[in-house]
Amino acid sequence: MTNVIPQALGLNVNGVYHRYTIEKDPTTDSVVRICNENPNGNGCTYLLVDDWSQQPGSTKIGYDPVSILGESLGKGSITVTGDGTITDSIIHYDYVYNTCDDPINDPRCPNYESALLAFLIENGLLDDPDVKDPYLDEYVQLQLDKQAEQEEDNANEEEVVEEEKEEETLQEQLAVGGATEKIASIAEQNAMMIALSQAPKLNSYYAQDIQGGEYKDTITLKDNEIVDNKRALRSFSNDTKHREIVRSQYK
Amino acid sequence: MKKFLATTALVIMGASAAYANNTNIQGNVQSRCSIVTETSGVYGNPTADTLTTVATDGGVLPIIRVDVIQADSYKVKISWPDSFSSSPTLTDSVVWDGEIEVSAVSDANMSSYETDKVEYNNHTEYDLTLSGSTWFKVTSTAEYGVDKSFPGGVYTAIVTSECIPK
Repeated sequence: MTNVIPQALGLNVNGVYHRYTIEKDPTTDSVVRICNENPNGNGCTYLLVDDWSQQPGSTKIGYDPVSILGESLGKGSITVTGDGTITDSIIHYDYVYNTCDDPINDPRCPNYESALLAFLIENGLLDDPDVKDPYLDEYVQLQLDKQAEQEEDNANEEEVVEEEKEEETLQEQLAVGGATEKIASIAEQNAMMIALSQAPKLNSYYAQDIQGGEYKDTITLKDNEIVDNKRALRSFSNDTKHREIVRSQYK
Repeated sequence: MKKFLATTALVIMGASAAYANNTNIQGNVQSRCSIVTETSGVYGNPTADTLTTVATDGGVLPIIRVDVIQADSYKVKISWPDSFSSSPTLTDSVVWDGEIEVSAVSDANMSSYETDKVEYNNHTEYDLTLSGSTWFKVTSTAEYGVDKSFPGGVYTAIVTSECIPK
């Protein structure tokens, strides 16, 4: 017989029902013991002794009213000492327990909420879930980097185009390639000389008078506070070129 | 008229004082022995001329529990049936037999009840010397005529039990 008492908190055994049949010689001695061991020590927490000495065998049915905490009832056994054989033995435990002794058993129990909270904390169910910051996510970061590079490339391309345009204009102005014929042509040279000698065209620059005095700022900022461009900051934080520039200060 | 009424009242008062008064004393005695039918019996019909409660013959033994809360104060007398309380019309005699035995006890020392029982006719008496419960089983057998078949129908017999104060 093993420990068949449920491990419910506050369970109390109110009675032990037993039934067994002993076959024996009426002239011999025998003692039947029904025992539940003490799990915290020696001996039996529950013990029932039937002395069948000098009695004929029979079937015994009994109900033993007790009041024992279920947790104090250990492994059970029914044994016979002396002459006799036990058959058809049945042991039943009559027990009750208050489901609210452990309030988490029933939401209707008082202190259910606090018991549930303690349970959740004890089992680590209230810890922050392990969710990655999407901005730190590898793929998101990669996309942001790509976007930043793309923007940077676009900006560089626009800059290059503008520079090329400017350079073209200057080259065109200074280039002699393609104008060889013009330079070699006497007629063209004459025309150029005539054009250069036209004083009014240059005089408009040389003859310009600039009035003295004080020139005050004409631009006024309406806002009292200038808000940082966070987007630009974020972009800079991902900008490898910017990072190189910043790092170069410390080299 | 007034005088007559006063005289009458005095006569009545005098008559009331002159009679004896009887005062009742009542008490209830609650039996400390009770009998409970735990299992009703069933007759099996192993052969055409036999009805029996023996389990191996298809019957069910009736179980009677006797509870005594005061030791050595009662006897129980249990009688196995010797007639049918209801049955189809029978034209021949029925031979009855029976046995009362202790089936179970609530105290090991009650096991001696079985050896100490007194049997006579269809009656068995047990001296209930200990407080507690005792279970009795009743074997009943009815044989019809001389190898004659029982007519079809429902047969009912009664086991009687009574607590007898000592």
